[in-house]
Amino acid sequence: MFERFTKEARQVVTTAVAEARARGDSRIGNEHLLVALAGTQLPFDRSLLGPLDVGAEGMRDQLDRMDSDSLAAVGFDPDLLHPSLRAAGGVDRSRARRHLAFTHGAKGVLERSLREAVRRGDRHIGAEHMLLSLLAVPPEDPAARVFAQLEADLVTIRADVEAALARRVA
Amino acid sequence: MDLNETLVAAEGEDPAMGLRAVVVLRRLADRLEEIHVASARRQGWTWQQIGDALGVSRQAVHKKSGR
Repeated sequence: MFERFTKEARQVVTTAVAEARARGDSRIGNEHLLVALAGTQLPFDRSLLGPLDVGAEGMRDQLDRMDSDSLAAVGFDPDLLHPSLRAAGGVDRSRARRHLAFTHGAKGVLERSLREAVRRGDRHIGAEHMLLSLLAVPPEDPAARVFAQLEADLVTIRADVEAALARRVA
Repeated sequence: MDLNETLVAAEGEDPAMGLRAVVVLRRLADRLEEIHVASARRQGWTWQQIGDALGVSRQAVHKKSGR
């Protein structure tokens, strides 16, 4: 499947892997793909993303918020996630060499991005197809949680992105 | 409310958040382990001693921490 990915789409995957490692996560999930996409060039004006247009650093803040909120949800002090413990900062992470797998949800998004490309009649899978695919994650997915945190209107964003892509072809 | 009551009180609200908290705490524990295993090694502890302190085998801690 990856052979049909554009340079940008490949870069998103590579960046997501690095992001998962940097956070100390054992799998590559849709939240990592979100951070990667936030820092990638898209074939339309990013302002169409509305509240999702926060940049890679802004997305990382959203993941941190999700982590803190989850601790609070089970009765822990959310400040337990001190910034110095959050990032890999200074610690020799020898396990960083270990191969990381994608979560089932992230595999689903990658597969659906192929279907998005086919549906649109595009020959290559680009970052825009990954984005459209991510917008359709089920509610229990971490990416869906981030969308909710940002109060993003996914129906409108999807419609705006689809319209912009259609204009580009026309 | 004791700790156990606090933990159980959050049960059933949102499984996604409860499960995420487990991942976050595990990640935190992993990081803490890295830091303190390295510190123990610098202070001359053997893998055997570190394994005993962590409640795992010498091989397990050696494998996890690299060299």
